Amino acid sequence: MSVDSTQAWLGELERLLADMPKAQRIDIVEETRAHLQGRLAAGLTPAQALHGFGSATDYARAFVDNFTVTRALESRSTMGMVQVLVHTVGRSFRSLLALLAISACTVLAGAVLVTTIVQATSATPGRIEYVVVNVPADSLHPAQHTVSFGASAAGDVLVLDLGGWFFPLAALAFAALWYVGRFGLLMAVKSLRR
Amino acid sequence: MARPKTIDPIETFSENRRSQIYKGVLDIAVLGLLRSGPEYGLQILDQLREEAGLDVAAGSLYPLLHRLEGAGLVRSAWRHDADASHGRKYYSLTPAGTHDFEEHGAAWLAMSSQLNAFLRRKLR
Repeated sequence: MSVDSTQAWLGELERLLADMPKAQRIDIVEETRAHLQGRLAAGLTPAQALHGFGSATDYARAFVDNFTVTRALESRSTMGMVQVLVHTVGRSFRSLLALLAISACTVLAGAVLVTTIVQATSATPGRIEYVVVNVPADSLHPAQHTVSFGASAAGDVLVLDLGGWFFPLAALAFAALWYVGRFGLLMAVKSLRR
Repeated sequence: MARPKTIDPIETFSENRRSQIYKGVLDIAVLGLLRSGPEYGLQILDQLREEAGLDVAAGSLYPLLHRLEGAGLVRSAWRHDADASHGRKYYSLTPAGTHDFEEHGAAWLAMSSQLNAFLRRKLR
């Protein structure tokens, strides 16, 4: 391995740090260069000098990950924080769990939103009818034993009539899901800042 | 046909444990080292090895220094020393870094002395 190999390694490092601001990128590369020059001046071979840094990819990742996490936390942007989790999901079980939890919150919040829109356009806002279709257990194949929910005249009807309370409760549920999702997202991203 | 590489779970576990211990103590050691005055990366790396017995890879030290600087615990400045053909980036403690070291250094000492006594009893 020649001195040119350290130049190539530094060039690769600079390329991998491309997502970072130019001043920080140059600072990291120049500090690494100074370290390598110090080791080469002390008599180490280029391979020995580079050994402690590992691959340029892993070394750059430590800086880039820290930069993206810090940027997301400072901006408090939901999309920025989600992007950090998506970016690290292959390497962090915590990110995977957080993404699953946030997806569940998003689906539930979406369901609340859709139900609210349906209720707002309904003739009887706040009145939800759960229709339970009872099928004799011995009359159908086991796979056909179902319990369905929806607006149908068939079967027993369970009526949940919230009246005017529906919309404040829906807003409260939506806000709670938003808060839990944001809080979980923030905690997950903070935990990635090693 | 190449034999698949086998992974020794005990060896992997031990390596992870060692890495976690290093992670927990390295930042305190770096802050402690800088308490004596400004130092540059190579100096910090060599002194950690010689004085603290911490064999840290350069690839771990510089990202840590970067994070400590981002957290406001250290500050850095480039200098041109007469004995070097290239510039060196010196790190020094900020007041927040001094306070953090005193607080966490004391906590580490309290925790480690209790743990050391426990391990000594169990290793007898």
